[in-house]
Amino acid sequence: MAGDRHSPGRAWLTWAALSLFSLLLIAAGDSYPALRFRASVIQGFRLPLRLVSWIPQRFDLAAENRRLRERTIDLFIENSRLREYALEAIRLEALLGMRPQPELRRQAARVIARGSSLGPQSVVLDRGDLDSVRVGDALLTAYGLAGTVVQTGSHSATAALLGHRDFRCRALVQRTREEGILAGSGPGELVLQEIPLSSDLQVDDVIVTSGKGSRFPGGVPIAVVREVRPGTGLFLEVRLRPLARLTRLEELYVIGRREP
Amino acid sequence: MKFRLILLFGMTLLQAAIGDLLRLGPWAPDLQLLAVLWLLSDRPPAQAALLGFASGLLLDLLGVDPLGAGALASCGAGFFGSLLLGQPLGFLLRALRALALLVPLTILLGQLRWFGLETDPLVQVFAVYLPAGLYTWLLYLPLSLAPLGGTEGGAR
Repeated sequence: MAGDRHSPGRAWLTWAALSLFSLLLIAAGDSYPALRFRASVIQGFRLPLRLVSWIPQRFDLAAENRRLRERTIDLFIENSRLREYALEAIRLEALLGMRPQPELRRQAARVIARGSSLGPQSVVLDRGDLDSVRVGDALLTAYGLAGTVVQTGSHSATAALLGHRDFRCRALVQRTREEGILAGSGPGELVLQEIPLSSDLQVDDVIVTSGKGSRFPGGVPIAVVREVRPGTGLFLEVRLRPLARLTRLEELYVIGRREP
Repeated sequence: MKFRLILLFGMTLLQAAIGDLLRLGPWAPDLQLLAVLWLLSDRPPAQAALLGFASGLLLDLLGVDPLGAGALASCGAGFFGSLLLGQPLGFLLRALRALALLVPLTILLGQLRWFGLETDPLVQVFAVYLPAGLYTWLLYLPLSLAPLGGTEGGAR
């Protein structure tokens, strides 16, 4: 033991100072310089993270391939049906003189890190600013929306997943077209707010993005209704289950509106 | 010490990249807290707190969790781990002391990361954080038997 260097008083002081610094960091929140610093740290660790994230991909590959093949067949059938509707919609829009939907930009990305052990909250992607990924872009999987990009580095980006406390977007009940605000409420948990008590919302109803505002394209499936009960005020308390498999995200698409 | 540092920061990167691989339902172990307790408990408390802080801060920076939450919990894990587990102990006593540390630290970390949610915090504690802390502890038990060599005597 090196005498004074390891004295108990000095050790307690070190712990207190580090804890105080940590509390100050928590209190400071995510300021712009902090976000930029985070982005540059992620950028610096991109290569080792990419190497380590290779491991689960080998584990899951066969099962994921089987699931995706089944999903491809489902989507092929659905796509054929939707193409007919799309052509009909284009004809009707032209007849009515409506403005066409803005074009979307998409970028395939791989998950190279995950944020928290206590629940799927965030992921780090191997695509960033230089790959046209922007803050606010949507993360899309074969099953539905998974989250949104919250910060970008030159070749990496961090995204908050559905369920993250900062996640908010406008959403529609696909069947009834009622609009509410979808918010994160815990690890993999979502709630739909501002749905009136008079609503006919039912368990297993699908919730999709509304397409209003500039962030997400409309009609993207997000979640299904897990529980509906009367809330304390004028609205229902609606709990949702995300469609995307948030604990097993590996490859996904980053979708955003094309800049004019 | 070099080997331990590589292992500590390696496990922090593992936590960031593939922590979810060990998930059982809503519960996933915290490999980074585990590494701090396992690798730093026989270091002097100040050094353990500093290294715990550094690895926790790295994990915070690699995600979107509140910056400082992981650093605070890991700093505590390093410091109190060194105080409580830094001397030669029997397996049972070591296991009980580790449990008394890991579970409250996991709950603290959960509350810091998820503060302000609509879900009842008590429900979160019993449904998620407490089982996750126990899961991490179960993984710690076999690791605590592994000889690492080069001790400096922890809190002694």
